[in-house]
Amino acid sequence: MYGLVNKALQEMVEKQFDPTVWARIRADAGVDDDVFISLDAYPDEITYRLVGAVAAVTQQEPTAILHDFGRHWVLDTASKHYGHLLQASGRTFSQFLQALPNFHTRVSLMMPRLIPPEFACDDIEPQRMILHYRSTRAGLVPFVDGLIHGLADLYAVAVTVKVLPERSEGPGHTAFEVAWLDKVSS
Amino acid sequence: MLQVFPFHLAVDQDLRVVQYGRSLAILIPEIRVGERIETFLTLRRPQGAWSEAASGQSQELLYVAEYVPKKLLLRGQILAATNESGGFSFLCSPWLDGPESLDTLGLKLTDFALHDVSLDLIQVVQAMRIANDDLRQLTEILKGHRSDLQRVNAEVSARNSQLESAKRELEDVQRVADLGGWRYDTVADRLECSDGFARIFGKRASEMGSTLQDWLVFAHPNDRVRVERVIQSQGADRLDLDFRIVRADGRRRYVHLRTRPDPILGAKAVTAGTLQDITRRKLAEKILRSQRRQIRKLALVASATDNGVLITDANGCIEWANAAFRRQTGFKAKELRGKKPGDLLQVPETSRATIQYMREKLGVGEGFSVELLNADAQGQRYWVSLDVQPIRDSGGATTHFVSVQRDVTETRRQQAALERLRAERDMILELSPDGFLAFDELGRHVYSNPAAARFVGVETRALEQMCGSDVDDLFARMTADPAAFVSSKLLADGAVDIVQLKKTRITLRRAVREVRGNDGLLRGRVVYLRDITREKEFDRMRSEFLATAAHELRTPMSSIHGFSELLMTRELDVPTRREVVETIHSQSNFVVRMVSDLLDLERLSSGAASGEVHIMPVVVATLIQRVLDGLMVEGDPRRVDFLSTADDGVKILADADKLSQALINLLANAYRYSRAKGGKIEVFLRDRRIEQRAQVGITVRDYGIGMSADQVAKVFDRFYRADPSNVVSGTGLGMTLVKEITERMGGVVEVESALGEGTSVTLWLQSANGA
Repeated sequence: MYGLVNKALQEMVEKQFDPTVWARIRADAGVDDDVFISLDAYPDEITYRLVGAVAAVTQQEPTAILHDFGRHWVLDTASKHYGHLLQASGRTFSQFLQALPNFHTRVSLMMPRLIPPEFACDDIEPQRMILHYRSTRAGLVPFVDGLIHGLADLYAVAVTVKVLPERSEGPGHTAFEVAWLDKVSS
Repeated sequence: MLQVFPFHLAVDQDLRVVQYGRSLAILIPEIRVGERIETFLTLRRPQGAWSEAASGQSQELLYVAEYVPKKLLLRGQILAATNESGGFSFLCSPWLDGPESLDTLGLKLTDFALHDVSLDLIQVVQAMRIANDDLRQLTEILKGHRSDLQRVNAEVSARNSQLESAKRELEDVQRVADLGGWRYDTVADRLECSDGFARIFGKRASEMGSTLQDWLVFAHPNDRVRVERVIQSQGADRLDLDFRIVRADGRRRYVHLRTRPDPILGAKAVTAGTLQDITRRKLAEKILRSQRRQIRKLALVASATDNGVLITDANGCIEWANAAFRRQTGFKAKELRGKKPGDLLQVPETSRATIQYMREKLGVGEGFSVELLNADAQGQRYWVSLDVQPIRDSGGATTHFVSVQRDVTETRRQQAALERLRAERDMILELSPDGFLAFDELGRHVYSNPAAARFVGVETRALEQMCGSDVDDLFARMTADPAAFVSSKLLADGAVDIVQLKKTRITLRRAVREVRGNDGLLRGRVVYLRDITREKEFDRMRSEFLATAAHELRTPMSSIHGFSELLMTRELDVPTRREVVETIHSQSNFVVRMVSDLLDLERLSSGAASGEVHIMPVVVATLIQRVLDGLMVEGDPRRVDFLSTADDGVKILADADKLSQALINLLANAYRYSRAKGGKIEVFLRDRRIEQRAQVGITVRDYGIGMSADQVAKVFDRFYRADPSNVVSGTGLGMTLVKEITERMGGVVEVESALGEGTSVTLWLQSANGA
């Protein structure tokens, strides 16, 4: 993964905990890098080890860490680095979800070593849709779940996300049923 | 077209809008079909007019137009219409500076055609910004690291500096202490040594070799085996070994080898130690041993002396005291050891100033001599003469004090007695009316008393400062004939002579006595001077008086003798015999009166009890009247007028009897010397003030024969008579008696007389009526 991911994870930990905690996490994970270069590709294993160490040090489940990380990614990392693009990606929550496929296609072009996930939308309804998530990386479904919740917060909607195992097309694919309700209209 | 080019614009040959993309309407809200293109888009490049855009060449150019209200640039290409209506299409998209432009222009990603690379460009720009952020972060981190490094470097430099300083100090210390360091790897048999170590051997470190044997060869041949054996037997892990070495230059030095196990590596692997040149210490020890032997000898001497001897350390604490000191003080050796002498011996009466002086001297390590009062163990006070001297080491530092004390109590007592005697003698000599001059055995003048100085009319101090010959010269100059003056030092012991000092009119009797010690040797000479001026005068006066008295008595006695002989040898008739007997009676009366006057005069002069005067207030008028009443008888032809004053109560201080006698003498004289001229006598009182004191004068005046000035000058002399013809009878002692009596009462006698006119005598006495 690109260094931006590891850096975002560090920012999340440092935002919630004492600065020395990250040093312990890094030491536990066996990661020497003081600084991650945002646009450099790092082995996925480093990210996994860091997430595992965060869970161990903070005594939380890795899935909870990944969920929180997904929300942090949208609300902090993406907002800080891609704020304008994020806002331009859709006028509504639905539009944004529908823009995800093209957005990641563009990202794959810019970051050829990223191997970003693929998103696709179908069964699109005014306040519901099926979001398909395809990735070569395992275990990041809670992260995607956190992303969706983060986006819902960004667009001020109340969202429910449900993984649909029956719609799974096999390893690497997850179908989410995403339903939302405009907080203002509700 | 509308979906593929959402920002396109199509105009006809009149340059009026015929169609535009959905996203262009977001950017240019006022765009309307039929409006001319230049009303909202200004062509920026290429330069020219929109009308030229329809030409075939324009399709090869990149067109940039500006929507001025938003300063928005649109860039794209011109596509000329292929139908008859003409015109062209401007296929463009907005120029975006960055992602924020989307927000500024109100565009969303879906407003762009999928093939439009603008969004990719924005992402590239954003990626660059992220990379820049990383770069800034890294830069900050690097700055932090650089700052840390600089701080660490500074600390390292400081520590290096401290290390260098410590190293230099260590080298200095080693050089001063003749000390060297070494490390020995016992496994590899490799020796490393410092420059100081090599310097002891007279070499440089690089010349010392690297094995134990390399430097053991420098050990003195007589010590080498021992050193090797000790090192081998004890493993060189903890050694303190003295031995000798022979330096490269052949000089022999004593060294001390000292090792301790390495606390980290242990003795087995590496031994570290020092080597110190102790030659000077060894020499000092040798000198010390010699000094100790010397001290032992001195201690023997100290033990044998009667003086108290004490040895203290540099702080004044007793280390040793001889038997005489213990006898003097009554303290035992163990009571003295470690104590300060002052704490044991000094008492409140001991002079604080002397104690302070001793402390100051001891404080600076200087010797001193004092006398002070101490007390022994029983509290008995005694005086000691104390001599304290410091003992110093070769470096000049005080290590001990030696104190020798002598009991001088008896000496001081004798000295005090002597001083008292001397003071008494000096006082006697000071007060003595006789003069004393003292000279030492060499004739040097050593003492003169005030009387001696007074004789020659100089200050005592001035006389004392003269040498012997000057004193002689001074006396010689004072005499009438200096050449005849005999120097005192030439006079024999016991010689007496008379010295007449012309200048001060003093006659001295000079006696010289030699002063000799118990050994009979001459110590000096004392010249005794006695003022005999008055004595000589008295002798003269006595001789004169005797001659006069004999002369005065011889006349009446001759008469008595002749007439009495006549009565015995001849038969005389009664009238003649009566006349002879009357003459004898008259002459014998004269002798009796003269003897009586002489006796009165002698009593007054000698101060005999009967001659004492008893002064008290006396009413002078009453006394005069009583005298007159006693003298005058009924029908007396003598006439005395007492001119009494208005104040009859005037009192004088006088002895009434003696004053009466004086007045009787005056009245008798007045009558005798005025009888021929009628015998008128006046008595009256006068008064005057002399030096603020009131005096009363009793004047007796006659109008008789009077006296000349010469006669007046002699009127008080004994046996002087104003009538040498002897017509007027008298002993010549009356006025002498009057003067003597008056002066004994504190008064004076004044005589005024004129020849042929009479005499007036006034007795002036102190008034008893106050000042």
